[in-house]
Amino acid sequence: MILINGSPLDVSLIAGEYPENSVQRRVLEQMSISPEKYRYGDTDQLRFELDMRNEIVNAARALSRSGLRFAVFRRSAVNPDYWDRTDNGGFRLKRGVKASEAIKDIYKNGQKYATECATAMVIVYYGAILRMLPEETFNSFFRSVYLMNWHRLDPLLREVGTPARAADIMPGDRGYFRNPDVDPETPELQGENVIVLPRGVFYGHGIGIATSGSIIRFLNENRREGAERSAYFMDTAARPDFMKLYGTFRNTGERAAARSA
Amino acid sequence: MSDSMTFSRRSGLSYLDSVRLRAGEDRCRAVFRDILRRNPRRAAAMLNDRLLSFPCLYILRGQAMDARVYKLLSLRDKIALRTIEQVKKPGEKAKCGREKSDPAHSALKWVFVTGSANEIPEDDYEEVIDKAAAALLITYKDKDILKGTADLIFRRGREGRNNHDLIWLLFQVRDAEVLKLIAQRLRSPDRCDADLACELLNLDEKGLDYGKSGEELHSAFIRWLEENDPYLYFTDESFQYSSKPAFSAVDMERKYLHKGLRTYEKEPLVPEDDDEAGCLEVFRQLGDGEQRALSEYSHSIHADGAGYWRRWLHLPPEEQLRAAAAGREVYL
Repeated sequence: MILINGSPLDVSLIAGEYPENSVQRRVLEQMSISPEKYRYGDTDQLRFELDMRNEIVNAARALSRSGLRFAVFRRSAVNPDYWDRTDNGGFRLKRGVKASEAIKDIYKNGQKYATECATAMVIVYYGAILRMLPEETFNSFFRSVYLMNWHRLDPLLREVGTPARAADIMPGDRGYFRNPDVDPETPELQGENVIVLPRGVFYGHGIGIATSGSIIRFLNENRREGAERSAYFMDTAARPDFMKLYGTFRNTGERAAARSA
Repeated sequence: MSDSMTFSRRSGLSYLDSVRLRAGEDRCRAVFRDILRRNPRRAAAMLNDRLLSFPCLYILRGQAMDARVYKLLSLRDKIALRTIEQVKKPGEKAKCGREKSDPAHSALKWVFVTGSANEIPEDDYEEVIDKAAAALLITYKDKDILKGTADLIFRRGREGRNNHDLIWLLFQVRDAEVLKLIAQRLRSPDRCDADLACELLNLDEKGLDYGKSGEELHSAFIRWLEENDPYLYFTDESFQYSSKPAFSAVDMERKYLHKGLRTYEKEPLVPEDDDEAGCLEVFRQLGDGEQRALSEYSHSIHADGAGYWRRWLHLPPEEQLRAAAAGREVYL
């Protein structure tokens, strides 16, 4: 159920704004039939979340096509024109480089980069925000960027690092497949971070866009000898604090508008 | 035996290690190359030296693979070289047994013990050490290296190197000893160590006071562990999953009903009778904070006498909570 300022929303009022089968439409429908209460102050807040989820999905699809390679942190790689590789395998935005240019380069020249699945998820979130904001605004928010799994996340993205039990898993959420009996010599396969896409598929870095069954099969093939437990999809999800992002970006937009007026 | 060789043995080092540590890796390779050229058998004997450390074999691995030397190498060296090869050529899986009598066990232990004490700052080298640790801790269930693994995690943390895989591995052992080893770092004068220990033990979630000194924090955690040990389990959470993983947790239901386990696994609690099922049903409907308050109070009063504990357990939940908030005197 969707509540706007405490009152149930008739979704037909805004569903027509989005094409049939669009991410926004699917999320809207999923929220409206759920027993969970999704609360918003106004419909713009809801629209922001729907659009942001759509861009997370788009960014995930784009990253899966980018050629970004899978590598454990020890063998991670960056395009040194934009990023410095840190001793622990993370990517740090190079001094003097605009964050927007550096993020775009990962999507454009993915084959020059290599990292693990969690870092790829963070790259998806930056890619999604970059699709939502003018570059100048994006760069004013992200003057320094550090990419290394869920470590030292930017305060604007902090919530994507802490999954919690969720009543509904929706497109744009970050999910996780756990592999409890993984071969201890391949700890990178202890699980797979994924972005939930529409139509029952997921984007997982190193696996690509796949169904739950394929991801579980892949993880199960990398278990220790004598393993008894199968990999499984956890009933938790991580998502950005959409309200916080909405408030931050809207205030900036209003300030910019006031300046230009 | 030359004077320098005698000296190095007296100092507990192999000759090649003493050259490496005194004159550097390049000099060590040059000396070994020269010995190999003149006398391959002697070169092999030097690599087979029981005092040789793994870092020395690692830097000489290219020459050690020379067929004239390799055929004369000990099983220890051959297994260590094979482990390096597996890292260099991912996809080749290690084949090792499960018994500590397996020669691979002692070879990998040598790799880890002599190799972790003196790490070479190369990504592949770190990976070899991690593979050895994984095989020892999980396959051979060798807990002798727990302390060495914890030491390595904190050292890498101080040096800004990646320790996430080793952290995951350490918690896979599922032993409270791991928590005790980490807790020792709460007393460390090094801020980096103490902060990492706080993070790995989730002290903020446990409500332990951050204002305490390292020594006090350590004592508080050990007391917490003693109280919660029977209900403790390891979660499988890691830094790959979350920015704030809860590596271990307390099973509140078990603590509430005083039903501890010997293992550190999360096992569903099956009520023994209708009475227990009723208590559990009520408990499960409470929020996290209330469950925590009741389980802690339940634990504290059970130690004083099962009679009062049983009477309290059958009070309505709001009265249980009131008693927990006020202390036991209210109902005595």
